[in-house]
Amino acid sequence: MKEQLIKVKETFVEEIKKADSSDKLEEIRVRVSGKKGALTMLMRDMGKLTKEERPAIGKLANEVREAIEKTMSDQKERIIELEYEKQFEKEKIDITLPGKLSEIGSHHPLNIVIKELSDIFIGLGFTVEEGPEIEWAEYNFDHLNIPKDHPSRDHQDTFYVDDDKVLRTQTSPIQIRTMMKSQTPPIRILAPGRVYRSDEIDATHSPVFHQAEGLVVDEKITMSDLKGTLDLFAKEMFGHGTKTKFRPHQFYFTEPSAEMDVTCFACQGKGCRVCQNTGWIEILGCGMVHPNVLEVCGIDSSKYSGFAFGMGLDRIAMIKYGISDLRLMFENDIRFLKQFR
Amino acid sequence: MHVSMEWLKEFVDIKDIDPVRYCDEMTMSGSKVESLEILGEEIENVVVGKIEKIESHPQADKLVICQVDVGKEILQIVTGADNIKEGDKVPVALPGAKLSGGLKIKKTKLRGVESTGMLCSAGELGMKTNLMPKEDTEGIYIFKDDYDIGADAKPLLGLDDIIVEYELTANRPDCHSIIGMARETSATFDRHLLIPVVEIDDNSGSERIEDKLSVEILNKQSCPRYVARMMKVNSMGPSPAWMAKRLLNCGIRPINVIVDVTNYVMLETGQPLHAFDYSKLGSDKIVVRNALKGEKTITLDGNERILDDDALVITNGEKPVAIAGIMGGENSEISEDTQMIVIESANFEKNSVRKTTKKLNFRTDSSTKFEKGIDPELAGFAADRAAQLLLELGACELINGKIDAYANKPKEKEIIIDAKWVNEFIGIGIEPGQMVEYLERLELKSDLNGNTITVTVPTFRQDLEIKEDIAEEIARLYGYNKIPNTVISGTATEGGRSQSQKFENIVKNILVDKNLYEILTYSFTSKNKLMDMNLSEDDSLIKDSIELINPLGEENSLMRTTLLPGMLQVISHNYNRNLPKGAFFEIAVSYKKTDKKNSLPKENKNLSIGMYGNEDFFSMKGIVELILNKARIDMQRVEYIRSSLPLYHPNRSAAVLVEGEEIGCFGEVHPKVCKTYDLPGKTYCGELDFEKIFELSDNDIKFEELPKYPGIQRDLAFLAQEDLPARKIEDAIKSNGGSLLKEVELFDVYQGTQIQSGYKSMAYSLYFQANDRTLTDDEVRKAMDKILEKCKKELGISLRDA
Ligand SMILES: [Zn+2]
Repeated sequence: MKEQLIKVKETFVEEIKKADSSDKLEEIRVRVSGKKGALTMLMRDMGKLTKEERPAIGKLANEVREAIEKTMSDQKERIIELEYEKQFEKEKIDITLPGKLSEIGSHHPLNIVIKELSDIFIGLGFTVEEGPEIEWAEYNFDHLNIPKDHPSRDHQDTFYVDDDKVLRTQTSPIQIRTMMKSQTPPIRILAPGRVYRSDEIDATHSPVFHQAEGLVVDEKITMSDLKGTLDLFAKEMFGHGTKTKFRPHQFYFTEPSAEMDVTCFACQGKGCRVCQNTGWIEILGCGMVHPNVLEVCGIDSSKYSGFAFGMGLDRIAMIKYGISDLRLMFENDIRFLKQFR
Repeated sequence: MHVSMEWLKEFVDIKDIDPVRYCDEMTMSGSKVESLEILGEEIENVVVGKIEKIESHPQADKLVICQVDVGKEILQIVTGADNIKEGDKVPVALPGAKLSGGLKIKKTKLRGVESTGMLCSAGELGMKTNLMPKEDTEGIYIFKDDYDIGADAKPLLGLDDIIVEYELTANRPDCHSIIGMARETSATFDRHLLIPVVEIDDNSGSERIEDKLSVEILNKQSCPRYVARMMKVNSMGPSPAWMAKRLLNCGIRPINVIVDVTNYVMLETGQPLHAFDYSKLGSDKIVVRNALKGEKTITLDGNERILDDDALVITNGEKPVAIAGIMGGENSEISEDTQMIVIESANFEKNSVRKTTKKLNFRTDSSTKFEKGIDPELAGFAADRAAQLLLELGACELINGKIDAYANKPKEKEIIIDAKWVNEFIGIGIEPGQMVEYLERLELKSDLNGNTITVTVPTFRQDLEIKEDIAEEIARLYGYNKIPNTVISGTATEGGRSQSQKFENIVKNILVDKNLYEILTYSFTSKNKLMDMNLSEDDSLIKDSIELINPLGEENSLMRTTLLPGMLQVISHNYNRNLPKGAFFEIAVSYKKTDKKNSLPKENKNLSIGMYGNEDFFSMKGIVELILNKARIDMQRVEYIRSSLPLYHPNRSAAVLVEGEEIGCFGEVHPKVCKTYDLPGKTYCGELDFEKIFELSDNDIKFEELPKYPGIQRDLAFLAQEDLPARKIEDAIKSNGGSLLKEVELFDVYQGTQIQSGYKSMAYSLYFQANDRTLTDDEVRKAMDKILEKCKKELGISLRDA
């Protein structure tokens, strides 16, 4: 009996280790511990043993069963791995083939700039305002303190729909509309949009272009607030190392007025072709809102003050992305557009 | 405005200030420098030489050999020039000299004869030859004055100057002169301003002006002041070299001493002057009046000008002798034999001059200055300054006295400011005394009393009107960049985008994700471009369009009523560049007339979509549905009907209705339009009313509990007549499915050999569910039976395999 048990163990452990599929393993299991399996049969014969023999042989029989089961389960795991390997080998693919994800379009570079700009000012508590493109001449000029005889009102500079209506030449009328609507400051608005001037189309001019203007009105707004806000904007928009420079200038709707230069982002201020070797790029005009403008909008200029600024967005997009010709912005060639994905 | 620094330094001492620093600081104090040109920068080692002897060249007919005294030595120089003679003093480039364009001079041999150096022409020295008389630019330049032999030629030729070009703002006409810029320079660098003292002894002459001339102004509005001086001419020769070179360096051509002095004074003071020939005047009076309508006069340049009745003219009492502030008349022009001149130093109102230059389309240096606005106070000083120069140069003799017709002398304004307010407004903290000092530097007389500063504004600063103007003067001299950067204080504000702006960004993002490119097209269109879309003349897209009074050409003459012409042009552009496919969108405004009086045109935000290359009607419809889905507009509210817009293929286009209201159309572009717009055969486009979609949209998301009980899915396939719209079948299923039917999805449409012709197979997947129980097969079977029965009855369709 003892010899028979050892023989069963040796034979089947050997055979199990050679099994290479779950089917084969199952077949072996039946032959060992199935109803008529070798081990089952031997165990059945245990009854015939003497009382003295039984404990030792019983112990051995258990050991044999455990050894076979252990080998069986180890081999089972090995076979599963093996079968996966076979499956994987069959399922080999070329992972360098392109992915199935569909192509993606792009936002227009100008609108990318408008969005970035808006996000910055929204973060400073500004709302984004829009207004009509065909505007009252009164809103576009008179309310902005532009003299009656100013050349910008001429037909050669401004498009007219009739004597009273123009294609707005700036987004400043939105400021006027906002102030007239809510005569109680605080006001903080950004007005990006399309504007018009009667220029023939060339590499740097277009009769249709885009501007963003901003306006802040409240008690005790100072010129240093204007500088601080725009300096912050420049650093967000053009990079944190950006420096700003404010030069005195003249605009009709602000007093004092200034132009703001930023360190050239193409050369970081060292001087290059983009900045005509000055290291600086002129970005925007700004100033303290002229008291006449506040008064015309029904805001008490002795109580409130404010600042305003305006910038050309097409130019900023062109400088930011290094776009050489303004016409590309309106031509909408796919090869141009897809670069802004 | 070009300023000669050599000239400017006559009025303010800034010799120690480096030109680059000068330009930077002037820019920062408000006078923006556009460019800085250092004249003669390249020129080195050019001296005055005297030609002692000229001999012919033994080997060459066209060359001569000169012996030239350059002070330290006599040089032998070979030249091809033929305008020199012995005794002439000329600029000589010594061996090692550098000339214009980087030319270097070396000792050399010309046809076997040694030549040590070079005699120079004006061009080789980089002089402004375009403004110089021919005799000075052809051949070797010959000095007119008797300079020391061996002296550095550069300063003698005006090549030691620096020209600064300023970009000045419209509010500062007072800066358009050398003295004006000297004043700004003096304020910027805190240096004393030296204005020339002009005193004319009006008893030194033998005759009096009053005996010869009277002045009458008939339009005092347009001519606030008219000053006249008269002089007897001694000689009409050229002006001295120092004057000629200053004129040249400021871009003005020297002509003769009288014309040059009038130009010189104009540059120096900013006041344009004009000199008439007294004898040609033909009368003893000057009358300033409006022109008669259609009155003609010939100006100095020989052109006949036809005037309107708002043009101002200077007349001799009868006929015009000048167009005021623009140009003198040919009839009173000074010439070589002029004996006596009248110098006009007048003030003409800017708008009057501007109107006339615009109507005549004719601008001069003088009119440009008047159009900016000139201080009337300047006229007297400028007349005296011209007389002084002409006397000093010996060109003229004085006729005693001057006529000064000056009706309304402008008053000096007073502006009172509070120093505390200035500090608060600008965000700085400087002493009132410091503010006064800045203002006085600008010649603004200021009296300080406690914190109150009373500023007296001189007449040349017409731009200063309110306290903010004075704050700016203080701030710019303090330095804008010294003002601290602070954050806005006060009430916090809630910034952000409006709901519709947010929705716009969402739609743009989703379209970009779907491989569409965002485009930007012009707002203009034309009747032709609209007609090319197969529209008839009475289509509302044409009738409602707004015309510009002054468009850039016919093709840009209308404001667009639709974004589609721009979209089609973009497709055509890309298609014609062999780009095989593309899909685009634009969200922009269209413009339409309104009937309402006193209101602006209707501007509406639209969304246009266009695509070509491997696309079909359903790609386009898919995009439309995507947008409606994103707007959370229930598909049950949406209906697609045939579009009547002739732009489209009549059977492959649709109008989109939401609850019966049309929100736009889309479809395949009509073949005719493909031809006119040069588009590929299968082009699809559409335009939706973006504002309406936003209004209909629903962003109010409310969570619904997930179903607790499982549902049951059933598929069925109908055999339907070919032309039965899918929407009708779907509606029939839905309306008869009862409350248990939750979803209906069309998953297959088949037409072909497997089924009889004239029919199609429509396969639907139906999903049934109850919220309160697990459905039984029996319940679903009953619902299905009802659907089948009703579909058969209402649409005449039955199951495919039945
Ligand atoms: Zn640069």
